[in-house]
Amino acid sequence: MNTKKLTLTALLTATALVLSIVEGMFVFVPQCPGVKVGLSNIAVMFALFFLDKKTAFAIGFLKSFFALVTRGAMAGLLSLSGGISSIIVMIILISFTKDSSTSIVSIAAALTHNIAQFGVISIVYAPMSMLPYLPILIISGIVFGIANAVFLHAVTPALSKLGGKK
Amino acid sequence: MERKLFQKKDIIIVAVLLCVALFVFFGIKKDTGERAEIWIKGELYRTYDLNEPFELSLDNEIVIKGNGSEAWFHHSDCPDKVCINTGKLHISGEWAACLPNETVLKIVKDNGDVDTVS
Repeated sequence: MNTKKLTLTALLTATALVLSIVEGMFVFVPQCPGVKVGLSNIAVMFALFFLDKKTAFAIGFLKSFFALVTRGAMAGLLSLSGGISSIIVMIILISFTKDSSTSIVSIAAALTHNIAQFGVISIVYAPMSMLPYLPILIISGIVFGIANAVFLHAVTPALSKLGGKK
Repeated sequence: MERKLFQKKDIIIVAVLLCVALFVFFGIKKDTGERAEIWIKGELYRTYDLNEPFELSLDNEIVIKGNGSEAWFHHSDCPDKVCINTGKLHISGEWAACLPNETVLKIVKDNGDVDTVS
């Protein structure tokens, strides 16, 4: 990893952290506290599309580490399960379908993130059925997945100046 | 950016996902729960009859209340208050979680399988 890439990874990780802190200040769906937009995935997707897989995983792991240090083991585990599983699903999707749109990749990431975190909560805290929450997880995954894709397209010109292949 | 933001065939995928969401939403049984279970750190800590008022105060400032038909997180020392904002619960399968305190309030129904889709 050269200096430029190291710096870029650090910048994107910082972006991801700031985005997740900012969105933590708002409740987006009052009926469903805990439902988040997942803005930090914008930074991860940028890394995946314009840099490489390693950088995306680095951001995912660093973000989880930050959650672990600042908010404890459980927050770290939740961040890790959601973050890494969604990166894996995005990589699978991108490699199998060359023409998949940003929206679909983003929606898939959002759904995976939701389901993985629900799975972890269900295992660690109390056995729970996901079914009652599946509709809201799907709908919020679609809406916020598309929103993140739109945001990514909007900020790509600016982020591209930092580096990465066009 | 080479990758398209959205394309026509995405509509099909989104439509299928929405159908699954709608199917589950309308298909799932919405029975009134009978018991309120409080789980702490992955273990069942206490069970209350949802039809009788109760109040549970834990050492970590968590207060869970029931009014004879609903149960809810009344107070917690956690920073995000997601558990309190989840509101009052009464349908079988519903739950509220205070993740920082590893405490979950879960509404259940006797012999009822909450997984059942009718």
